[in-house]
Amino acid sequence: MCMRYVYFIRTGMIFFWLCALFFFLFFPSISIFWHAPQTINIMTWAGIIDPIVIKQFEKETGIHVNLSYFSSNEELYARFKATEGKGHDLIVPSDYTVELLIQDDLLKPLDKTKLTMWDQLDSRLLGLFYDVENRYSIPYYWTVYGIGYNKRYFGLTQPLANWNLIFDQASMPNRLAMSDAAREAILMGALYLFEKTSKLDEKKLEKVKQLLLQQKKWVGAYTEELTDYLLITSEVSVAVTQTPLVWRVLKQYHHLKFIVPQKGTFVVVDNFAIPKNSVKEDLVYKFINFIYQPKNIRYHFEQHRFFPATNDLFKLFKEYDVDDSIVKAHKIDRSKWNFFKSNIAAGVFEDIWVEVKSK
Amino acid sequence: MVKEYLGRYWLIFFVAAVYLFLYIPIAVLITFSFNSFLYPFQWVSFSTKWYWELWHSSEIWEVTQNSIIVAVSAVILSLLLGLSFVFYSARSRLRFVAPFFYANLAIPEIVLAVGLLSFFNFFSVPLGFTTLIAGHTIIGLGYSIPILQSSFAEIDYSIIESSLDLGATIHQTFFLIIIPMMAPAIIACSLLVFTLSLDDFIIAFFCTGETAQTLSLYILSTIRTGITPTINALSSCMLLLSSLLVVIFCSFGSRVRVL
Amino acid sequence: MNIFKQCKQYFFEDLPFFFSMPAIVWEVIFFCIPIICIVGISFIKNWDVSAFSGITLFHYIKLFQPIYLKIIVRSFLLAIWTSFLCLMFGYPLAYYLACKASQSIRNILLFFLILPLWTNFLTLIYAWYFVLEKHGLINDILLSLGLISAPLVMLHSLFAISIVTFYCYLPFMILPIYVILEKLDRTLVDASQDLGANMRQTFLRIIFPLSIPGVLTGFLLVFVPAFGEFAIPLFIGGDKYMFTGSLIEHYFLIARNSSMGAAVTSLSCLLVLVVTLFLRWSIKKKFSYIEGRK
Repeated sequence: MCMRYVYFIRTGMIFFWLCALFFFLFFPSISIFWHAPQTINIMTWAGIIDPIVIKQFEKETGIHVNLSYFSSNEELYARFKATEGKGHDLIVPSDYTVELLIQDDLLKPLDKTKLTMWDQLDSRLLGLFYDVENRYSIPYYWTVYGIGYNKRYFGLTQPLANWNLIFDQASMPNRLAMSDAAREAILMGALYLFEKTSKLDEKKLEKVKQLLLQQKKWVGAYTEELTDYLLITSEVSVAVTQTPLVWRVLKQYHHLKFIVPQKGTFVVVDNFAIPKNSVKEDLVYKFINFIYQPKNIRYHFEQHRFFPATNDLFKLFKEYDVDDSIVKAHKIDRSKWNFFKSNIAAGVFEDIWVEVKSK
Repeated sequence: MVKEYLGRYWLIFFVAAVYLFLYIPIAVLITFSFNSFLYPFQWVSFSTKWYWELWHSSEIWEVTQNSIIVAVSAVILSLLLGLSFVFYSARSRLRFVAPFFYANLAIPEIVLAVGLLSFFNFFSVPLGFTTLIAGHTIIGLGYSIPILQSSFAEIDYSIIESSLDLGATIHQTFFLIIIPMMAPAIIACSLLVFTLSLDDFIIAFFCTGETAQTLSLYILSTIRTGITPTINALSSCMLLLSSLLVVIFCSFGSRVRVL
Repeated sequence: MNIFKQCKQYFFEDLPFFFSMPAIVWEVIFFCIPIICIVGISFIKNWDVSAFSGITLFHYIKLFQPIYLKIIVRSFLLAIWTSFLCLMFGYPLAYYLACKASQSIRNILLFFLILPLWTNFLTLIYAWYFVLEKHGLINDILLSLGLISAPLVMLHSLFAISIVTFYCYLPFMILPIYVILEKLDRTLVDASQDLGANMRQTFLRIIFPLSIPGVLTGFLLVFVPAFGEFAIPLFIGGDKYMFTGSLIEHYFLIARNSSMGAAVTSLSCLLVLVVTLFLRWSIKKKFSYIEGRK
């Protein structure tokens, strides 16, 4: 009789501590219910929605904003597939991810009458392949890929504007900085070898892999965001980079130049989209209208590496005396735009990338 | 003559060289935090503007606050759990479980981090401060339980016996006798866990889901996106803080068998 | 009522158990179960899609391809090389601190030794950028001394990774050896010298064998973290070379393939455990005579 009670009590003690632990772990999700009734949850990239702008929005409208971050489109897509978008009211996916989300029916159609900023948007960025009628997405910012280089390494002959500069050993004077994302690097290689990024079969992927392995001997670093620093310190003489990342250093250092390959380059457009299960669209529309206000767009342009998808962009370029090559990059014909979309499974890209990195 | 000199004092030269090696990067770091130029690789002139910017950056203050909250919580939890385990298991068979806590330190931290990530994802635990504190406490327990147990074992049992004989209850004995006698170990342990929690980034990298930013994560994301001297200034301040903690530790730690 | 009173009585009698439980519960929930989770996930076919996709050894079989084995071997070599370097450079330092330095110098040197240990790891890695880059300290000094005509390329290479790893883990090796050497019984050294051994013989046959436990602790304190290192290859290596840690990070956070990541994690954990146990067992066997004498 006594022994039974002892084990019963001991089990009860352990159970008590387990409950305490459970409470400790799940405390945050309980506290969310105590928050202000008017809250929106935004999932975004780091560095494109400034906390100061958020605070101003909260002050003006009384709506509380929770920001959470993600670092890759695959992460966003994976999280969304798992939770069906519950818990978030606004997300910022890139072009090809919007297509995937629309196909999986995870986005809510937009009510354009509630959005006051349509005329501000650059018409070239509307009606793109992923959302032809822009029913689900609004372009927020965009970048153009290109090659930054240090002209001191090229002497009198300036390099030609094509992808040879990063893939062909003969054109490379020194080390280069390559993109650190699997999908981007492989599709760039495909564009260089086959002049198109669609219909890549196994044989073609194998050739791209060999190209990347060959390129690795000349790669100084795989990075995207540090390319400006590496160009300045001459760690690399050529770098695959994006326009918002280099425009400031082009102004300061006149020996650094930027070119866009003539045969075509990559463009990334990041869009606002509302998950299907969100019930707070009115609050979200208020936020979108707020963030597209010219003064906020200007603030983001000044403080962050951010090129807005509005017509203001070229005005801002003029005002900040942005280098001609950057302006030209954003004016290239839409026919030369390639996107990072592909039918190939992400797993295949990652396997190739691991092999490249393991050598 | 020189050879003889070298032969006798080679060890001192060697030690000096190693210490120089240890401090060159730190010296460079601090020097460039006073550089007036935006990019820290080129010395232009002396300026304290990065420290001014650091002081006025609300983001860094918020991030530091988060880190300190997590570190203090990890310390409190490690100490509470460790002390209660060490004290209450002293006379029972449970004290043989104590060596298993060494395993917390025997595996690479990345294994613990991904384990915690998978565990939290499976049970849909919201990632954030609490998960981070949980991870840091596990590492803290790996240090605190061995240290506290060895310190507790060194206490002369006759003192406890005499205290009980003189009429104190077991809890009075605990608070008035045992804890003061273990004070150096407790302080050394808390400093150790505090520093570990502040400096840790592997567990933070995997287990916060990027909603809670700690100091290490902030430095990580800044280094990844752009190198500015503000980070040099921040690192110099953190060095100063570490120096303070080391001084406190050394004055107490000498009385404690830490390793 | 009687039962309730009895239960209450048993509860208060069993209070020690009640209060020793939280640590154990915490340990089991946050340490043992996550490890079991990892090992379990590595056998599931596609954990991210569904938890019940089916049991398979596919991920482990895939791991035995040369690509992945190369990465694991590379991490292993880095860890061993770092531990070896740390031992070579750290032992004399620990010896000096414990045996030769006077008390005041010892305190100062100890302070300067523990300080890098207690500084943020990322800060130390960040600092090396400015030493190794083309306009960094080393190149500036060598250029101004005229020893080289063009700056050396040091950053973003395996050489840089090994130097920075050695730098970050050196204090971890020195401290355990210092602790053991400090507690060394000086009378043994005196006795050996009285019996006619010179300094070298005393060191090789008395001091070094007695410090083996410290050397082992230091070795493991360096080997285990260095094996799972991923921040140093990321920043200092320019993300060019994949190590085990980067592979795990890649699979969990970038490629989102938890099953594969779990397989790599369990394999590397197993490898580390095997090395640890092997070292402990062989050292115990070889130096058991010391234990006997104690």
